Amino acid sequence: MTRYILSRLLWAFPTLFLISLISFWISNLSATDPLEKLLRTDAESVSGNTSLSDDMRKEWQKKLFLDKPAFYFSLQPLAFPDTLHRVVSKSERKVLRKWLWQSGDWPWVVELNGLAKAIPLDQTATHLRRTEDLEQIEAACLYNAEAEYAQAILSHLAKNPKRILPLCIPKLKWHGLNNRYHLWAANFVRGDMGYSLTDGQSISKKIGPKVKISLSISLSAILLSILVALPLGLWSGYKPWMARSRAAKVAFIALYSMPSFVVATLLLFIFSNPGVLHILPGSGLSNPLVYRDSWSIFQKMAHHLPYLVLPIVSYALVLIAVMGRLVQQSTAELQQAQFMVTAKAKGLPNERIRNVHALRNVLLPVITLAFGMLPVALGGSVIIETIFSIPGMGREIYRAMLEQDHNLVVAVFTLVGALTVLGYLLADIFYAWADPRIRYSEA
Amino acid sequence: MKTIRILLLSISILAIHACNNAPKQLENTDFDIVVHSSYEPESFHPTNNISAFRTQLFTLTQRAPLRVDLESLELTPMLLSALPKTEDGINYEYQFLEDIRWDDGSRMTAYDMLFSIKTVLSAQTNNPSLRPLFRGTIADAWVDEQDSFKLHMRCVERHAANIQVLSECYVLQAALWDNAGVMDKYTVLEILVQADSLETDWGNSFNAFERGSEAIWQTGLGAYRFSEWRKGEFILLERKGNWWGEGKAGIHNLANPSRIFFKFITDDNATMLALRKGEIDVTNKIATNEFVSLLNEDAFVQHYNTMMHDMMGYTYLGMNMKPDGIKRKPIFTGQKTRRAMAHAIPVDEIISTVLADIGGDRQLSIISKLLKEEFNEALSPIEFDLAKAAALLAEDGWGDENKDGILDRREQGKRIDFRFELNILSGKQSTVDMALIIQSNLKKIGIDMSINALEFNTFYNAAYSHDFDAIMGAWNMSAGYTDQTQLWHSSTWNGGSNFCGFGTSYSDSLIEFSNTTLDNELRTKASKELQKEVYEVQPYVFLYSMKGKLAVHKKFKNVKVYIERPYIMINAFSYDESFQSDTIQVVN
Repeated sequence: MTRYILSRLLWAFPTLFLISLISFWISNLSATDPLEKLLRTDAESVSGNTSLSDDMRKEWQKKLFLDKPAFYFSLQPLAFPDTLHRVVSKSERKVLRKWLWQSGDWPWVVELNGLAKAIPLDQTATHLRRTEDLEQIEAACLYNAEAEYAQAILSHLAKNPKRILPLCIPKLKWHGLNNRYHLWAANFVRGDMGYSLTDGQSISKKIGPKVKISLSISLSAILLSILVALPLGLWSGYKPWMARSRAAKVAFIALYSMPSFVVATLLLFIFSNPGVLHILPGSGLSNPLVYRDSWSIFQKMAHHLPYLVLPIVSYALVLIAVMGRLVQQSTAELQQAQFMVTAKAKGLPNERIRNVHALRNVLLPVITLAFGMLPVALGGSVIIETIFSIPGMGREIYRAMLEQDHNLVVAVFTLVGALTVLGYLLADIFYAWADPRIRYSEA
Repeated sequence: MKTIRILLLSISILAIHACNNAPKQLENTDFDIVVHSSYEPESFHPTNNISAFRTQLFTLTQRAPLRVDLESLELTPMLLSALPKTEDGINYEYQFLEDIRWDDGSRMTAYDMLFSIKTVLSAQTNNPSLRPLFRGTIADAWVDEQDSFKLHMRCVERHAANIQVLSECYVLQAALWDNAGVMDKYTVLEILVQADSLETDWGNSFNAFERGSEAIWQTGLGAYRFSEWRKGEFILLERKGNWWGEGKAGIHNLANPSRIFFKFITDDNATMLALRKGEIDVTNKIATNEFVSLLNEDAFVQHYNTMMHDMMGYTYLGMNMKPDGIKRKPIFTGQKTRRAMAHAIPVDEIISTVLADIGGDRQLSIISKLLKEEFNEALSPIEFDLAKAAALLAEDGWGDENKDGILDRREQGKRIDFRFELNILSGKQSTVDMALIIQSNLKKIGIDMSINALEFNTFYNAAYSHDFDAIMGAWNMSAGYTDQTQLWHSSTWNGGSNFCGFGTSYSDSLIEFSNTTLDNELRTKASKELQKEVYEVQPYVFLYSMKGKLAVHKKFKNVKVYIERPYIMINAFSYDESFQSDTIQVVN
């Protein structure tokens, strides 16, 4: 077992590497320029207003490792310069790359870029600076052919060398450890997840309190669902021909088919509504009018508890449906198993057969489900957190996606990946505990 | 199994305890106010962050030297003995009151103001919103050698908006924000000229996230102290003891509630329930459907005063008058085509269906009807008339040469179809509904419009770079002097928000005249003429002016609503023990 765990741990490293690589790669594919996003300079530059100092810009470029090549090596056509990553603007970099594909000549592209940048601000075609297709640029210049800038660009376009060969020969360049991915990953391992692109705050600091809230709610919901679904599933599945079993099955399926926002809204309207039952608060985690920071931990817990009931129950109900149905079905299937028949033939009481003999066997799907939920628990639930106005990770991730805060999304994605690996490892260990027949080989 | 039973029993006991422990009703005996907000900004940095919510909060915690008075809609001194003096419209003199004190008891002087101006002007601060305005306005500023309460400011040029530039600048306590005196080493001129060579470290600490989130950095000259911010839950403001403005005249100097809570509730249903339970005292962030539903509930109506109040913002459909001709076809280059669009969009239907007849009034011009003196009364609504629209399109050369049911015409020998994309902001169903209504009506006259829902950044990047056919957007307006350059001068086709490409030498001269004349009567005349010009040229189809939905608990009296932000002054509310306060009073 120990050897198995060690081998799984060893396998975890390449898995995590792959997860981090994928998330990093996805964030690099995004059209958003991290620097422009963080410094809110995009609006500034298009509006032609005075921008942030170059020193500040360079400092953030360094902090975000944007002055480094993206990966350990790069493979690109010979025509491409090694220093393209140093062009500060991501959109400009993209345009230059596209122009290079259409010309195969870097100095020619640099000159075109200069001409495009020189288009006077009062002209209609400044967006040509960001137009990737040279034919479109040519057409737009022909449309405004009287303008001086258009003539200059048209004459330069006429000189397009259109070199094919340098575009066909690949060039492999080794950048060493001083690359963006390596620096980001090394910091991540040390607990430094980088900076949020919406406010420049450290991501670890930003998500720390939110992770706590989401984990408390999700783990409580998972625990509650195990405590309810396991006995309910066993009880209803033990004698599958009985009416109670069918009723439980219908209830599980009905609950499972209800979207979580419906469940949460229903609970809200039933238990937090003066028109029906007003016994639980419906939003937030505390009552600002009475909550005091000076309270003891028990006072604080007692104060928070009512606020947590509805979110936890909303979360748990869906899990109960899935888990309960799984346990019910597994219990029903066990009825024909030899050990169950023997136990019954020996005259053991039903309760003992169900709670001892059947229980261990139905634990396996519960373990799979519970540990499979571990990474989801970190991510929280956007729907439940929005409905109950809870400042958790679900809302934070949703906000980050809407606001294109890719650094935060990538950090959470990697963290969730790591937790998934851990969840599966823990599930394997618990399998062996639940069913001693399971023995792991190194394979 | 026994263990599971015991655990289940414990959970049940805890749940019952929890239910008993639930707050039944928020008791506001200490005259607290709970204000609802559906949105929570990331930061409250006094210079770097901008949001409507910040404006509402800073009205209570911060002070700028002057601001537009909510009642008179005139510029009013807040920290000054009088409005700034000027003889030439370029040089201004600000005389600050001498009894203004910071929370630590020290006096606020013109040096604090100068420091605040420097922070906005400095290229080391991450402040892209205010800096362009300040750099375009302020040429120099300095404190009087003889009088530390007097500030001199020289502006770049004569401009009607010069006088109000500092109304955007909350005064920062220099001793708190710059205790090492780094900014003292540089004059305003040096900051303006040597943009890149100043202290980067100072800039980094000034911009740090903590400066916008920790209570200490929220120290301001307002009547309330930023006391606590529990992220995602609430912000607590507490009334200051011994505040310098206590007893002074004016609505801004009132501080009746002892504590003001801004409670964040994101979900519309939860907001509605919180109102039913009386957990919120004030909200102007409630969805139209929920608002209408609550108005039909007796219990709600008994406990809350409600109203739809006017605001000066408006929504519009803008058409690209100067497309590049290739990616964006020259569809809206003709005035008759644009006027036809105005005839083909059923604005009244949009207001009655999408906005349930309560969400907005028809907008007619670039100036709100609420600004009675400035609004050009001669402008009449363009009636919805598809036949007229079709006739105008035919006059502008649109036909159906290929008989495919979509209008087309020849441009430089090439046939172009009347197919275009309407960019809208994603995330709001009412916007989509409006676009669908427009789409179905345009289809009736042979125009094929597709709807392109974009997220905020993409939408505005496309607008700024004129990479659109048509856009549906909105502008917030203010009662203060509005320089129309940003939206309507031809020079801001690039470099401003003149997305559609409006602007002739005549309209430019009207804007320039308005900005430079010191004669209010002539300025109003020029403004009316500009409104007429925009109306005639029709770069926009004006849709509707926005309305706010307000609900205030009846336990508060002296509730007044204004057309200028923040629309209500919570600090002026007083407690009505009879619980039967009058309805909300409309001031403007």
